[in-house]
Amino acid sequence: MFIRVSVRFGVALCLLLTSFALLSVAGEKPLYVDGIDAAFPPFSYIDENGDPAGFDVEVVQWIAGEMGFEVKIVPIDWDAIIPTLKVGNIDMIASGMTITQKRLEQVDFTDPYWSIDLAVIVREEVDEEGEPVPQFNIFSAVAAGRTIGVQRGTTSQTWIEENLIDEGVAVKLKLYDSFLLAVEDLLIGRVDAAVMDEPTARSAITNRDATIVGTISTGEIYGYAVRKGDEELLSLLNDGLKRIKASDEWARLVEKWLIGD
Amino acid sequence: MSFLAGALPRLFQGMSITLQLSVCSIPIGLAIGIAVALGRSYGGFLLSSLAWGYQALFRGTPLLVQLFIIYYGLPRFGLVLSPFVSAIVAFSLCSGAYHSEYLRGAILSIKSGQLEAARALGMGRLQAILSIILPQMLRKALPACSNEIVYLIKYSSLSYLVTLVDLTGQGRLIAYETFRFFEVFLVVGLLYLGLVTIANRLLRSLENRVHVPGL
Amino acid sequence: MSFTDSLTLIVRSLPTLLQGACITMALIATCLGVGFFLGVPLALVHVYGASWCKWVAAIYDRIFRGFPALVLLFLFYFGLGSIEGVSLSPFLAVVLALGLRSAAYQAQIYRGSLLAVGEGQMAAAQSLGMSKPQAIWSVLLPQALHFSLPGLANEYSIVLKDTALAFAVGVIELLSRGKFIVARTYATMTIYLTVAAIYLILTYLGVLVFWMMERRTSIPGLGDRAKESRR
Repeated sequence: MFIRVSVRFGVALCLLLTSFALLSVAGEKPLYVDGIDAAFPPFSYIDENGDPAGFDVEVVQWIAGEMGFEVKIVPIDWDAIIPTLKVGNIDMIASGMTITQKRLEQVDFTDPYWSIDLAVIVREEVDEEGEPVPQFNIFSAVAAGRTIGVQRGTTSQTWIEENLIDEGVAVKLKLYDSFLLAVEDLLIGRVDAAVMDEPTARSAITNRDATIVGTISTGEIYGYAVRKGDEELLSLLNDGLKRIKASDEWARLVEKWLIGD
Repeated sequence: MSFLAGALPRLFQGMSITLQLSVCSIPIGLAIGIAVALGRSYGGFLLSSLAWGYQALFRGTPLLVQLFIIYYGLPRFGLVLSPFVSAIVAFSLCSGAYHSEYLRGAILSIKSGQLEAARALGMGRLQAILSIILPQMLRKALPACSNEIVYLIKYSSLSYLVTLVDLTGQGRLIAYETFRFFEVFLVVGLLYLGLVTIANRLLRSLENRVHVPGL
Repeated sequence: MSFTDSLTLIVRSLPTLLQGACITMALIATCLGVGFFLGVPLALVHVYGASWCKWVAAIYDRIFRGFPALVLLFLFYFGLGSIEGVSLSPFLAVVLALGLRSAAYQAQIYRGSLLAVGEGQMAAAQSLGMSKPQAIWSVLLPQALHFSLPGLANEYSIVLKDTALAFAVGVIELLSRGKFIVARTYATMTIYLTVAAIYLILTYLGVLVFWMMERRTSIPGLGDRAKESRR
């Protein structure tokens, strides 16, 4: 009986090792692993078939095809994504990541490819005429006493910490695993406002009783991140970005994902 | 190591949340466990089936899923609980299910003759259960229930997922800011170990005090 | 969301959820395996080891049963992973963290069973000329393993639920898949209840397997069968 149990677990161990071996078998082309935030539409998310989708996903897939490498896209918990990159479990981050001084200390970024501002979302209520009306305006939404929800490990969190809390404005900050959960809690009523990157904000309020009441002009720029010193992948990505921006594909993707509703 | 000096106050802040969560959830969980164990052992068909269902549900699903359902799901039905209350409800319900199983085992180990004798002496059923069964049940299940209480202190680390910044939550924030993951989580782990050790000592001395020699 | 909408969503989500469930089962099998192969020797050390061995085992026990599972996960994934030259995949980090933790708990289970088997048997075996290791291997361990099965069933259900934490270090198991769907559809209750139901099924299937193993390996005259043989 002891033998039987040992064999059973031995088999499980072998299956595990084999699957590792299979997964790490390199194909003809070099394989790079791209880490994404799984809940950051329109730049990166998981569609109904369980496959990665979004602007950054399609751009990276195009670049991979053009520059001759294979890319595997894996969802990673956002506030662990830079450590995951440094540890080597992923090779790049292509997921609407803002280039910041602090991040530059840890990783290298490609040339910027998009620029955004932050948006403030609040609940919509219905007034006497049945018209939807925002619960707060841009100023009252971030005034003292408000509870604001953001995603952990993002520029939204830093902006509120540096420009409100550190400046003495007594707002309560609530941290979520994803912006979408912050919006969920906004609709539930546990937070008064949610702050996030504007394209994501537009995606998050579609068909929901929430609205953008204003934007915070931070003029942030997005770049793709690679490990410090990974010159090879960095130049592949930069070249790829140059090529895609010069092609029709760029306009098509921007139109598809980033413009309009 | 100087970063530790800056980190410790925040970690202690987080630890106070952990303690608050534990101190609130432990008695509630135990109370639920007692009620469910009694209901399962002495209740009618309906009561014991409900108790069985509750046990199966809360022991068979991850605490994390229960937490998400209580925090994000219940509001769909109009029940909005604050993060703190959601966490306490989830932790109490989950640990209550485990407590009830240990207490039920203790009840089974009490000879049914005792209950009959009590009834024969004229005690009402409820009175007999409360004064004869309950004390013995608690004493016999104490080791297992102590285990569960310690589990709860550790599982409270999940509360960072519903925006509560407990010890683990603070640790994660500090680690992400400083990138000193190993040191931060080692310290966090040791702090939990400290809490767990103190809890174990307290529970062990409780066990010794209620121990009946020869039984 | 109407009831039929919910049902449709559940059915359409099942393929991806079940894929996640496979990863969950792979995790649990390897974690329990690691726990077993490390737990048995640990238990032997706890019961029969020299004092310094017991001391080391006690420290191991303290750390892996005292640290929360989530903290162990972070320690292994980020902490170990940040050491130069060490490349730990999320899956491996989870297996190490939860597996080593399970070893500590399983060691306690086997320790209890070894003690339950009884000193008398060890004495009897030795008086028949067996050495201590021989006695442990052929007489005590097989019986102890049978007695451990209820505790192991419990450990299985605990580790199964702990695998839900693996998403925090990037393993895409059952719960992560559920979260992706919720992020897309906002159907919180529907999806999480479905995920909970799948965990329930996985838990009780596993407990059933352990229960069957217990019946198949039960020793006539010992434990539950003892009552039958006395009739």
